Parts: sequence; structure tokens; C-alpha cells
Amino acid sequence: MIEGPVCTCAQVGSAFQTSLTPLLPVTVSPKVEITTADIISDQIVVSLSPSTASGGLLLTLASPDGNVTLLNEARSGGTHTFSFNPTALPARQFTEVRAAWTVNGVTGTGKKAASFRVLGTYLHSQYNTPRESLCTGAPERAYITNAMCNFTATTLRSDFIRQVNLNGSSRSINFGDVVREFFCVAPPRVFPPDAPDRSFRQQSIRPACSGQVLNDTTVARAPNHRHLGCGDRVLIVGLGRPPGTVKTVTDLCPGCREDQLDNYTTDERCSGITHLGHFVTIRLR
Amino acid sequence: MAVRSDLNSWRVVGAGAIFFLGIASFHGSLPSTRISSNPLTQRPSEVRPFDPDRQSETSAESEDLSISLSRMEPCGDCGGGRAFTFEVRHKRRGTLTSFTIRNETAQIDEIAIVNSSRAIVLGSVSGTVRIVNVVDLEANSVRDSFYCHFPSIYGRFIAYVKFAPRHPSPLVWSFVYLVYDVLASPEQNRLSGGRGLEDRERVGIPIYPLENVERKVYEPVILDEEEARQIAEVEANPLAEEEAHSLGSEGLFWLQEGVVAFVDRWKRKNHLVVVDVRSGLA
Repeated sequence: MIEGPVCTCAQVGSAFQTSLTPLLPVTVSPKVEITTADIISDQIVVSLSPSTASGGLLLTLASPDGNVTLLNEARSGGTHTFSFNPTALPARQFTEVRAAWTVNGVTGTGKKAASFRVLGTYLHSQYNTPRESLCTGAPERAYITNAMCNFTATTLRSDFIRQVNLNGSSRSINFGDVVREFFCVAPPRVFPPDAPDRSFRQQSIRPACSGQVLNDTTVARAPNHRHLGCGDRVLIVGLGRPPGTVKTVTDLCPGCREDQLDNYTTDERCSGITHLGHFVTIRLR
Repeated sequence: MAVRSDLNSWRVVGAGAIFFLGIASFHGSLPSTRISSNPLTQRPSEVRPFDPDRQSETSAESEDLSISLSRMEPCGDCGGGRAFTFEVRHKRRGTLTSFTIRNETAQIDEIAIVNSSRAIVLGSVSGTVRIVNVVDLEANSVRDSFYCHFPSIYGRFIAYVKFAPRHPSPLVWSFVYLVYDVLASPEQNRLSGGRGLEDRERVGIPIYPLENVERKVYEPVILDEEEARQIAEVEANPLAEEEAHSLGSEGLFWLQEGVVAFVDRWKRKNHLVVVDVRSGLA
């Protein structure tokens, strides 16, 4: 049995409308989840909930050398995809992506590991293993050597000889893969007087990094590079299909500056191998 | 000539004509603009993208002379595939002469006028190999030419790293730093017992490492002869990359004409090297 004053339904409704609204404000607990933070595909996917809420989203790329703000704008709830904007990133190591969404003064946060180092804008040159059959020079005297430092006189195309001397290795017509001979043409060994710079050893062509390969997805770096070692993968932003191309460091390039990578190409032409251009380059670790 | 220091200290040591102002070694990385606070410092030659089919206009001017690349022609006999003709305007005399480069130069990158009788035309053979052409402006011909890496010109001197082909062994590519004096003859710019003036690789006078200076050799000296022999006999070269000398600065920097500075990285240490060649290279 209810005791006390009795009111009409109309009166009840009126009382709720005027007195309950300020007593029970809508409180939202914003939730933030970064489901993807992938520099290779240049994608950051952030889920914000509840979907009906809206607030300021701050997206940050964390670095020991100083965080970088990727976005600071109002966003409603739902799933959003963002770019790292890699060409605008400063050269430094990054560790994770952080998101903070503030709705009605309440902030929800999320983070996801994203470890990479922006190296800066690098010059990307190219090198190859020229094939003698694609060279056109006149035959010139040359020597093929072996591990015993025996010299066998032969002829090779003049532009091919020049290419082996510059590149260090090439593919001959009659002797297969050859590398430039250094050890058999140095004293105290005895060698034909004209043998230096025209002596080549039959040997498989291998990169400087042990156990690695050479192909269209490998690059060579400067010796003793501060940030790149054998086996490191790099994203070359803007090369090939967007957002870029991933290649692996497998070789050394004594003539490269630190801000240069020499890209191996399976193009076997004797000449005409040009630069690819300048690209922002990111180490993927 | 023992001048290596393991501390951040400087020593001044003279040795024959080449005078080492000092070598300091230190750990850690270097900021990008290290040695170039003096506006007179000559920075290393800029690396132009290697694309010979898109040769850019190149010229240089002095008080007396103006030199410009005027013509390129296909050249079957030239290693670089092209002949490059330059026009030389003698301002005072009001005359016009020309010279042509026909060698392995595939692209022209830079021209430097040394004086009324000498110029340097810097070019590229490939994306990683540069070529220096020393031009006699009185004879209108190329007096000498050679391959190199990281050339840096100031006045009569060119500092650079000896050309090294790509090779797995540091015994082959370990860096040797050289200086070429454009006012000296090609013979004077080669060590005795070399392979003659046609040699495009072993050119210039070694200024570092000290082993190359002392022994007067172009080949890297990072092992004693017995160690080198043993290593040469095994195909899988066990020598680590860190055992080789390499450039730690962004190039070789002339502090003034005849005084060059650079950082050499060796055995995980950076060595700041300053060399004075003002009294000659002999």
C-alpha cells in the first residue's frame, strides 16, 4: 500500500522532465583500441567506442627522441584508418603509436607497438651483374685464374672487362660467373705483366653479407653504417606501388655515402643502369 | 710517425712533406654538419643522381675564364659511351677554345677552374664511382683522369677515397685516403713502381691510413703480410667489416687550401684526421 500524496500521471511526467535531467548526466567511458599500426602498409586503424560519442582524438608516434603528433582532430566513434604520413616524419627511432580520445572531459587511451627508424631521404642508386653477351666491345686480352693462381689467357669484350673491374663481378660467355682477381695479381705472387685489371676468377657471385642473396629486393649499404646492418629490411617510401617497396640489406657498397643505398637489379645490361631517385627510407625495426 | 691517440686529444706530428696536424679518436656517432662551421670550408662534391640521358647543364666561371659543357655526342670508343665537349671562353683575351673528354666518363657533374691553365671536370662512371678529369687548358686536352669515391676539391688539391670495387673482402675495399695535386704532373701524382699513367685506380698520394703513407702503397694495409696471405687462401673471408677503414664523416672537408679533415671509422672508433699538404705531396 502506497502512502502519501497521490498525483496524476500528467503530474508525474512533468516532475521527471524538470527534475531528473540535471540529476543524471550522461557519462561516457571512451574506449580506444589500435588494432593495426603497420608502417609497411602505412596504416593505423583505431576503433573508438561508443559509436554515438564524439570527441578530440590525439594520435601520437612515440620516440625516445621526441614524440610526433600524427593527428589532433575531433572524431566520432567507429573505426578510423590513418596514415603515418611517412614522408613528413623526422629521422629518428619510433617505438609505438598512441591514441587518446577525449569525450566530455573523459579520456580513453590505447597504444600499439610500431618499431621502426626513419633514416631520412636517401639516394637510391642501382648496380647489377652485367652479362658479357650484352656487352658490345671488341675482344681484349684477359686472364682466367684459379685458386692456385694459374693464369689462362683468353679474350673478353672490352666493355665487359671494364664492367667487371668496376662492379667486382659479372657473367662471362665462356667462363660463367667471374669476379675480379685481386690476390693472384699482388706481390709476392708471380703474374703476367699485363694481368692486373684484366684477370678474373671463376667464382659464384655472392654479396658481402654472409649467407645472403642478390636479387631485385636487395640493397647494398655503406660500410660500417650507423643504422643498417646485414639482414635489415628497409621500406623505400614512394618506390614502386604505394606506399613503397621493402628491400633487404645483403651487400656492401664502398662508394656509397651513408645516406645512399645501392639497389641490386637483375637487369643484366652492360651499361645504362641509372639511379632510382631520392626516397624517404625507413628501417623496419 | 705514430700519431694515433685513444683520447680526445690532439698531437702535431710532422712527417716529410705531408704534415699531420692531428688524429683524435672518439666513440659514438657524429652530427651531420661536423666540420663545416667555417664558411671557407670546401664541402665534398655534391653527388648528382646518375642518369646520363638527362645530363644537366654544367659550367664554371672565374675572373679570367668561363667553361661550360657545350656538346655531347655518342662515342663508340669511349668507355662512358659519350664524348663531352667543353667551351672555354678567355675573358681577357676574348678568345674561345674547346676541349673534349673521351674516356669512361658517363656523366658530367661539376667543373672547377684551378687557374688559367688547369681545370678539373668531375664526372660519374656509375652510380657509385666518380671520375676526375684534369684538364690542361693550354693544350686543350685531358692531362690525367682517374676513378675515385667522395672527391672534394679546393684550389689545386683534390682529396678523395681510393676507388674500390664491390667485393666481400675488406682486404680489397678498406678505405685509403689520397690527395692529388693538379699543379703537379701525372707522374708526380703516382707512387713509384705503379702501373703507369694508364692506371685509373692507383692515382694520387696516400695521406691516410698511416700504414699506406709509410709504406707508400695504394692497397689497404689492415693486416700484416702473413695474416693477409692466410686469409687470401680461404674463400669464406672471416675478416669483419669493422676491421676495415671507412669514411665516418659525410665526406672530406678542406679547412683551407692544403688542409683537409675527415673522420675515419676503424675498429668501432671514429678518428678525426686532419692533414696538411701545403708544403707538397712528394
